[in-house]
Amino acid sequence: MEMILTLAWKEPKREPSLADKRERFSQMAREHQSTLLRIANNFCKGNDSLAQDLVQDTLVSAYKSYLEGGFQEGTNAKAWLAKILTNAFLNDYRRRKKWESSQDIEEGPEIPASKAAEADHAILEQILDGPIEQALERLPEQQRMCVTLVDIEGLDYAEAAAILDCPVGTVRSRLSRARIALYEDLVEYGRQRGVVQ
Amino acid sequence: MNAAPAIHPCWHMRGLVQRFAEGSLAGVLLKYTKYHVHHCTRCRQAVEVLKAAIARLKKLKDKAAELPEDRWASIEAAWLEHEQTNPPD
Repeated sequence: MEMILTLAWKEPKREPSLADKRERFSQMAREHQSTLLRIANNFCKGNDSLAQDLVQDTLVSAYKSYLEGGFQEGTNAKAWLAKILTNAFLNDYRRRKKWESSQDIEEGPEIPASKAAEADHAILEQILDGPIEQALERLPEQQRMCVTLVDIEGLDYAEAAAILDCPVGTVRSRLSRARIALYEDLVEYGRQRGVVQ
Repeated sequence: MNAAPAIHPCWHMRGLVQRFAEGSLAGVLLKYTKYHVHHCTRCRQAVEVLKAAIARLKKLKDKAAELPEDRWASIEAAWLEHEQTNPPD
């Protein structure tokens, strides 16, 4: 019997060109721009221009890191980009904002205490995004960051903890305080505007 | 924002109440929390508040946002500049 030997020749893996890498990264960046802008907007307390600066700087430094192999294909791109954005915010934007503003960014107005023993939870459904975003802006920065990453963007606790560089338990307790504070703030807002009695 | 919130779950239930509201509890912890919440007004109120806040915050994600094209042009220019100043080995 004649044996046919087939030599399996493996073509060496071609390194993608710089243009390919840029194209791939550009797709990833555009895919996640909405998430990054929402996070940046919440971090920057609704300042659109500052939020866009932050996202722009994030995408530029993320690309540098991408070219250096800082991102592994198949891993969570959203969490990776959110981490870079958060670091950029913590390292630069917060400092700049603090410098520009005489008021400490950590502080916000006091939350009015809930007056009703049984609050109407439906009020939250009736309140538009604008007042909710304003209530978010009044939260202390660390709480606002947790709410943005977990409640709005849907990252899990471990991802948020890795991004914020703190223990999972800290994320959990900040979230709890933030959610209750937001709720009370919004119920009070609704009462003042007659949305609820 | 530094004032203590008026909604206080029992101190030993804080973590469980939070996870219960998120729907991430299971097994005996879920049973225990359900039982406690059923009999404790403070924790029940906290669960309802947390659930309402979580549900409303999730809806903020529906808001789509895009960077203006001039921003993209600046970003892409910065990428190209980086490639030119740091050519691959």
